[in-house]
Amino acid sequence: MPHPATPAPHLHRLCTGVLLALLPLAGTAAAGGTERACDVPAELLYHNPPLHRVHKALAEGRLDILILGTGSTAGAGTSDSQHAYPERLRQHLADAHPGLELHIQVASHPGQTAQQLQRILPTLLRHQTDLVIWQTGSADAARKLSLQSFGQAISTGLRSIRNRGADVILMDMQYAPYTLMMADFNSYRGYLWWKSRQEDVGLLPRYQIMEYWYEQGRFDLATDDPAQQRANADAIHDCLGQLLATMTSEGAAHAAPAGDGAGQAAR
Amino acid sequence: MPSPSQAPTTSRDLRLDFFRGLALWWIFLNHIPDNIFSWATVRNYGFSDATEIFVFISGYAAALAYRRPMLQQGMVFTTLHVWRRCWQLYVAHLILFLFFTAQIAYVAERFGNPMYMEEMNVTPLLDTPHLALLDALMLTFRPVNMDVLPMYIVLLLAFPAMLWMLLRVPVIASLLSIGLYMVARVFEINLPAHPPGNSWIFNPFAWQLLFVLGALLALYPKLRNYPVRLTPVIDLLALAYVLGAGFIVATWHLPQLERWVPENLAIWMYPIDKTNLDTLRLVHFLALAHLTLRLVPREAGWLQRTWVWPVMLCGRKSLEVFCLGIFLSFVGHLVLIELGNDVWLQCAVSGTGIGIMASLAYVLHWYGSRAAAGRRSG
Repeated sequence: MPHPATPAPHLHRLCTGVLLALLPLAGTAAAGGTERACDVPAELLYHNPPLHRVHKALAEGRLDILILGTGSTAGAGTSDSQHAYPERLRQHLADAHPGLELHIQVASHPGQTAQQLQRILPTLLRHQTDLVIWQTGSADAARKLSLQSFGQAISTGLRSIRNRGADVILMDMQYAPYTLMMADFNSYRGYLWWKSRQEDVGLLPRYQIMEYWYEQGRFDLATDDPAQQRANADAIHDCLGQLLATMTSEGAAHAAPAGDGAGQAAR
Repeated sequence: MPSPSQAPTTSRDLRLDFFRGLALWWIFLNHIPDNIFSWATVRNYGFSDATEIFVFISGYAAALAYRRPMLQQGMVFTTLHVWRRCWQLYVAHLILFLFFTAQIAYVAERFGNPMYMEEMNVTPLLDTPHLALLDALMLTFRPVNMDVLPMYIVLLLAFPAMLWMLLRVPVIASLLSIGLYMVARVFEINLPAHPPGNSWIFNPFAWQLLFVLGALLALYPKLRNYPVRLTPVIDLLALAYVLGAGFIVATWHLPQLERWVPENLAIWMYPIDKTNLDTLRLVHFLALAHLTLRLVPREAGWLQRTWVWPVMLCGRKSLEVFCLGIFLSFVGHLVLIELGNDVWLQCAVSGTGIGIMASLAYVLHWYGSRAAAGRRSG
């Protein structure tokens, strides 16, 4: 499909060796430091624009996050909601910022398209919301909605978030070796990737990251054993929580003016 | 066994068979996700892909095939003749649907992972099979990779009337086709699909332009004779466009190049719409076709060589090979999932698939020429 695509898997495979040699892997995704299973190549997370509002909030010792998404945001496939990525994000953020007053609001609407989520977004945004993590794309791809309306929904959603003064991180769909048999995810995630660049917001390319982990043999995503499926889901959600925590912290750090000055943060 | 070279008549434009065969191979390779061999296909080097080639050549070939019946036996006969072909395509589509159903059922049964609720929930097939069956019969249920045939069926259904007009009032026919394309693009007019509110992946109202263009060039080959002094200009424009498109596509794979694409150009360009045959795709195909025809003259020697015959025969038996290719891409994908997706396995799957497609084409060709010889002597 003709659309800007994220780096293609093969090229990615071919380049990974070179990139790993060239780019320092350290510091890319190792918030916990010990859990190397969550590491991803630096180029997958390199687009992480400054999060000014988050920077300001962290400086004041508080953070208010709205997580909006579909089934996976509710922790589909994990042991329980404690193992879903929103809860893991809370844990990793709390570890990284001791004493932080953290409020996380989770709005999970399984099977809803970007258009549907975008419509309810203004009702969920509160005055205090500093950061919105918006997981989207799966339902749109599954239902083969037009790319244009998908893109418009994303833009409209981002606008209402910006109008409230909150920062955004987008997250795309999940990868499994057989998902492409069900729907053409590539055009949607490619378009979401381009949208994130155009609108200059961060994007966690979950699809590519999970594909990378699968290719590295870290998770057997094609297993038919329910226990292992659940264990995989728990581990993956933990990693996603960790990566989101890293993106949040690093995005806030990027927003820090040179020298210092939490007080003079951009907003 | 007869040597294949007995069959072709020299009057046939072998480039049609060759490039249609190549398009079929590419469609097969592109339909296996994460296949390294899809890097050998045109899709990764420009806006248009094998679908454009297939639709254009199908229009061209349909005009060549049905021109004489239309002129000699008239409209009614030709319409029935074309519609018989539609029926064959319809049956082929339903058989593919059966295979697809079996495959999805297998995957859902084998990998039913609650983690992928949304991703797996794409198919109403397993929840409400009776409705999916109805949708399949009405061509409104289009599983992944099964979108080309329904479009082809609709294009052929309308083709007798279009051919009649192309032969009698070509200017009006062309304007109608262009007008329909523009209306479909501007107002996003499309056929409905399942689930309700959706539309076809390949909008026949837009894609008909390519089909008609193929037919028009087949009926009026002189249209391609532009003034000689313009030829270098057109060559240069086409080359520049193809290279530019190649660069844009490269930025999709290499984000480092992205900063060389002006922001305003990107905003104007994206998304490049396949459903409604984006103008950028159409122009890319035309530029590519122009360059190809300049580089490969009709009498090019290598088209007669034995080694191009596997491609050539596939192009000639396009319906059968197309359907087999779709089926084989399902199977190939499953094999890669089950056995692990390494490069050697991709190589084996791609090579075997193309081998099977070429073998089927050869067997059909052999059988067809034997049957024809039998009819002549008996």
